[in-house]
Amino acid sequence: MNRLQINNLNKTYGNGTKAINNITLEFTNGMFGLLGPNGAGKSSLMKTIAGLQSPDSGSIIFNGTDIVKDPLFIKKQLGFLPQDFGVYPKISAYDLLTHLAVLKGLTNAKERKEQVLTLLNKVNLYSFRKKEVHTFSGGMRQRFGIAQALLGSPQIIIVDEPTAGLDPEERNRFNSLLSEIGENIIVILSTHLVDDVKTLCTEMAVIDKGAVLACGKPIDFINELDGKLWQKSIAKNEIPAYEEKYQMISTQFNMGKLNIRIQSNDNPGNEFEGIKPGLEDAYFSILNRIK
Amino acid sequence: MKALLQFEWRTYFTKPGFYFFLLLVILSAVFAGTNFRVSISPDVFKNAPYVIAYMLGFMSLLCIFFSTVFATQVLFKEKDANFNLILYATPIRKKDYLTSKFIAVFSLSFLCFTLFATGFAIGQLMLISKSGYTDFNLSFYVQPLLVFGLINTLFSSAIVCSVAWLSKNKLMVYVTGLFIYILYMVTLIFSGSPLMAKGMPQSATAVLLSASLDPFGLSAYFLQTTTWTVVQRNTASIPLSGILLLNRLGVILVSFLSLFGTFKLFSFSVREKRNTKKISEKIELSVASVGGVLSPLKPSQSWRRHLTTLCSFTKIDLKYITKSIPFLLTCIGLLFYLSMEIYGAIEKGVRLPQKYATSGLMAKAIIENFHALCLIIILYYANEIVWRSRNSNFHLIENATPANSTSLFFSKWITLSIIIFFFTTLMILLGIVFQMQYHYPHIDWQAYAGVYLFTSFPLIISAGIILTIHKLIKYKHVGLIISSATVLFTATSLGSNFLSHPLLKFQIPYNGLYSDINGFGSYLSTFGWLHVFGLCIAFFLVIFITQLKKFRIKLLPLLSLIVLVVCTFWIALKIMKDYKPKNMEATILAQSEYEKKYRGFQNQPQPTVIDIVTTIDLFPEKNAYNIAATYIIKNKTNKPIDSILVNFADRITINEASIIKGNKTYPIKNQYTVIQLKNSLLPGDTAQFSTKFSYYWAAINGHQSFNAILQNGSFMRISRYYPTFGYLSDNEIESEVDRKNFNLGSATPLVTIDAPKNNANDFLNLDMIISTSNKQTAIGVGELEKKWETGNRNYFQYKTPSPVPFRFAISSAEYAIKKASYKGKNIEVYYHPLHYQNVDHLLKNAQLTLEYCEINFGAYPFKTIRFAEVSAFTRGFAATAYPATIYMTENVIFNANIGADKNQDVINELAGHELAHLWWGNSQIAPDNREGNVMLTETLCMYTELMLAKKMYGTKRVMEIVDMHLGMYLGDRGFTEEQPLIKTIPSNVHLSYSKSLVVMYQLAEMIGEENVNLALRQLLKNHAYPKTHPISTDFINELYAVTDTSMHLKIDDLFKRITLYDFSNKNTMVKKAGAQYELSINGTANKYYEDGKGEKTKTSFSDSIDVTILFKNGNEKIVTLSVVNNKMSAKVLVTEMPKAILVDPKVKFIKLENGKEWFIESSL
Repeated sequence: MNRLQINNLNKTYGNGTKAINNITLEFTNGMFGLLGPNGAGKSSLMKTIAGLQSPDSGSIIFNGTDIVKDPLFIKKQLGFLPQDFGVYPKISAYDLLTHLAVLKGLTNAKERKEQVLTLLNKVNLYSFRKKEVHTFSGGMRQRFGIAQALLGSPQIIIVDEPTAGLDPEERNRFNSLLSEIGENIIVILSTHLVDDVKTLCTEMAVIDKGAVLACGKPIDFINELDGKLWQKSIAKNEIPAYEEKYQMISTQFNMGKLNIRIQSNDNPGNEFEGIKPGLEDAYFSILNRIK
Repeated sequence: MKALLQFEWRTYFTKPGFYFFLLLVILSAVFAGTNFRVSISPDVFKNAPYVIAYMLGFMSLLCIFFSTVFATQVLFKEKDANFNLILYATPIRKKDYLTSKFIAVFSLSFLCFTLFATGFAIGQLMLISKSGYTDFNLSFYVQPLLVFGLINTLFSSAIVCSVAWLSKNKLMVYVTGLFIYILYMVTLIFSGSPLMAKGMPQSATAVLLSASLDPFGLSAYFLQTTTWTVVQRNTASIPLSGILLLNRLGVILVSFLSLFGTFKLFSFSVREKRNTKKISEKIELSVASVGGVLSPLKPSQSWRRHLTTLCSFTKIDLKYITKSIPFLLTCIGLLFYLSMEIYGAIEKGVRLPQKYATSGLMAKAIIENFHALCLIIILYYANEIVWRSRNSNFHLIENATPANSTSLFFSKWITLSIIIFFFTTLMILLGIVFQMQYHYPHIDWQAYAGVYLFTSFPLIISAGIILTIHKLIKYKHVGLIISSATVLFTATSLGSNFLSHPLLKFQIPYNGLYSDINGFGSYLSTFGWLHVFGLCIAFFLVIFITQLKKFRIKLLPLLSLIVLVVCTFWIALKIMKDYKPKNMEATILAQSEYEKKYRGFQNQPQPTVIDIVTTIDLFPEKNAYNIAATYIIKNKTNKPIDSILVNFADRITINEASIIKGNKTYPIKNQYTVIQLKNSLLPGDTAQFSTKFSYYWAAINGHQSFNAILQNGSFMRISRYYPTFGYLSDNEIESEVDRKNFNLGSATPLVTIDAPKNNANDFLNLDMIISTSNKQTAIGVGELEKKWETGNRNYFQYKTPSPVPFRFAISSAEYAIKKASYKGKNIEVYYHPLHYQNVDHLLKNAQLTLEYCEINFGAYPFKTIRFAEVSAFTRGFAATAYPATIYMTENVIFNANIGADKNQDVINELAGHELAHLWWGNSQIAPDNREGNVMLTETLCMYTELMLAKKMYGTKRVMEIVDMHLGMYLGDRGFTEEQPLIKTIPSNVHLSYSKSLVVMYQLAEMIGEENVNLALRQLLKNHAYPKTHPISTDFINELYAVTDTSMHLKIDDLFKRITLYDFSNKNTMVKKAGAQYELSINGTANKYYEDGKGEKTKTSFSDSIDVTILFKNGNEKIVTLSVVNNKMSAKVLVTEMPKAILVDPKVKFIKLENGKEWFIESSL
């Protein structure tokens, strides 16, 4: 069983942005979802865990070793898929994977080749292995990304917004690949897509403005909201009035009508009807808590 | 559009970094202004308008740099920021967009160059009070700024912008910059300007072509100002007319055409390369499980991991660099540039014949020219591969791997090193191809190995330093600027001006000599070690930078740092063992001390050397020799001598020295010693002087050209290093400013032509024994008395049969020998076995010269004529004559391919010229050391040379030679003050050689060759040793004696004045006269006397002139017309239609515009 503990982690950038604000989290095998709006500090946290930047204070202990002091320790067991990565032009998928395999320390040429080919096969890129990666479509590129993250049998995999920009089919395919991987190792999935977390993760945390707002199992968050979620269709200009009166969680258009959802322990009346909460509602509820 | 442009400007003018950059530009220009002092000649000011125009023109090379840098930033901004799709989708008009972008690039580049020119002017202004500077004049700077700076910025901006828009590839923009630079350099090679370092006279076609094609206009400027006088160079502004105007207009036109074409072709579209079509596919969802497929990672040894990482990075970077079109273009550019340089090195222009394409010549051309270009390429690629990961946005993935950053760093260094080796090998292959092309297939691997040692190694060191800078500086462009500046000042020839200590020059390639005879000589090991030293320093920096983390360092790197420090010190000590810093101030101080202490001896009687017996032991393998000499000195004056000033040469070690007079010995210890004699040396009395001294040189200090004791092919003008007596005025400081600083008064003037004659006869008898290593033959002067071998050394004894001047030399090499005899005289050629090609021809020409000189001038005074080849390490002459021996350098004569083309028979010229020195030089007559003395040596030898060319090749060849020398005279005369031939000073070689040849030709045409020879025979008869030393007017008097008085004025025009003619067309026409054509030739024929500084005085002119009528069918007819009072008017009936006329086709007059045809107006 792998264990990653983050204790009181802080990071402030040169321009004054507090990217990580006293975060404490714990991860074990399985998929962990980091949910948060754009600019919440997810990427900063991931880069810090991956040893790409060092925190101002706090510790990150991976399997008993403080990787702030020894980032190489985690890098040797890490698979990292950054949010938006490019590739070198004019280099084939096979060659680029081989290069990264070498960087990850797979020095035995035979094993390396075997692993690269297996992975290419796994992500269904085998028949494109001789093609240049920068000519790949978005989905293929993401699959290449997951292949490279899997190189060298990592014990922890960090994936940052992996399904952004993928079509639904690609996204499904990608998620099933991720869920397979997540059985025996730690997989940290950073995303702003609540659905992905719901389908994949056993544990999750919600982050905003560099701080952890909530941490737990998705189902617990949903259960917490059960019986407290109410919905109603209103006119657009009524929003301010409702906002004042109720604890609004979300507004969304549905077939031309504006639906609002509010959180309330008791039935608010006023034509609101109770509905079954989803993870998305829980997420918005958490985000709104600090407002 | 205005808004667009303002936006572009604002991007720069709101950044503090940009102001910093501008400040850097100004500061470096101030630095350039104070440090680059071009001294064209002593008579042209260092800030003369001509010099400023030339320097700013030359520096406008920077426009390429500025416009390339701005183009890559301004034009690729949107693409780099991935903003291009949004921009292209706006309704912006193509014209506005492109125009604003172009104006931004152009204006920013021109701003930078203007600041540079300003800084340069400030730099020069700071020196204005120094000697050699004239008053500051702003317009002298503004004009070249516009003529060169503005137009060249326009050109380079237009070309790089066009390429940028059409290719949409940043690398292509850099390559274009490189190509413009290459084009510029190539045109300068063929500009034939005496100002270019390698400037050899080029053919008129080549000069015109380079003047037309030079995109930077400098070649055209050179051509336009060829005939300028010193005064014009000091005062006149740029003449915007003729070829220069055409060139400038042409460049502007080309710039606008290229922009116009680009505007037409450009479209707002995102380029999809043909072969990069996006791939997408539909696949079946994989159901196999991932878990368990991958075997867990086995821990591998760390060195192995580092090594494979290193290899993988290197492989991937190399693939990236080489698999691109710009790389291919760079190869082509390099090959083109080097081809032109090598071609220029083989074909030496119109003056010299083709050289053999030896490996040495190829290697030298590569070493000289490849390094700087490759440095630019390395700077670019270093920047590119360091930032590639980040630019491709791949750095997060790469950095999240456990790969070691040291491996990453070293892989970049190895990548660049491989690229350097690749380019070097490519250049060497080019050299070999040239060798095959020119049928000289002897490959000398030592020479080519030198290319690797002297260019690849320093480049690898520079690459390491560049990468270190990038590692330290985390900003891409700042890193590029700082690394560029660093290598500019530490790794280029520019840097060698500032780095005074030789150890600091470890990145600068040894740019010295290569000789077939001596290879790189001692320089090989010294400079080889210097580069190893540099490599140690680079390694030290690299390890220090990559391993030192938070002031902690691991044991292994620490140990290697210590080892490196030890190695560095050890090598430094090894290199510096014999280093003696050049200290100009100390030298000048010593000169001033000498003058102050000893100038009194100038007017005191001093003894003359009448006999020297000497032993010279050469140790070629040690670059050393020992000399023992005994002189007999005599008081040849009519006063008693009480004290004697003894002078030893610089750089030698005096082992012992003394004067023995009667039974008294006076020991001498110091370089300059005054001996007070107890009993005076009375007139006619003799004394003995004996000495032992030795000499050694180390490669770190460089060798002296005329004291070159080498492993093979040594040559020493050895008499220069023998002790002498009396005051040496040659030792005086020349600079007026320095003389003033030391309170020295005026220097010893050159004796004027009308000063009283000096009757001293100072010839001596010489007996020398030379010993050398057992494989070598030593060549001295006079007759070889005997030779023997003792103790594994070869001994040679040379004696002069009759007295000779105090001027002798020796050479020593592993020679092959070929002999012939002519009328009882032995002709011997000593040459390097590889250089056999011209030996027979030399023997033949020696016989012809001997025959001509003996018949026309008098008997040859020795039994033997020896020609000895010496290595190219001796420079400064092609051949030099001593009593019975002529030394010739390998690269001019023995290695010239005289059979190749153009009848440039340098052997004929030099055999004639040098052998003639045995009559006209220092064997039979010794011209008195005063104004015009070269007229009795070089002028007469040029004449002999020409007469021999006539004998061997006929009058057509004579005309070619005369035309060429006239061109060289006219081309060089505008740089220094000119004297009439009878007063010529030795430094004006264009007068003593080129003008002399033309004048002697005109003299022979005027009074006949026989009469010239008669006068020469008389000169020899009346002035040969032991008679008085002749002066130049003695020859004029001999000429008067053999000619009618009516000729004397014309002789004076040739020798005693600077006479120039100007013939110009005034309405020359042709009309039909029955079946014939009537040609009316009308023109003015002016004659001027010049004062040497360009001031002309017109004088009346009446004479007869030849005119060649050129017909449309190619026929020619020569008629002689008379000129009366500067007017030329005649009617000639001809049967065919004339096309043009050529006045004075046989060059009987010196005209500023030689060979210009007159246009004929036709009334038909």
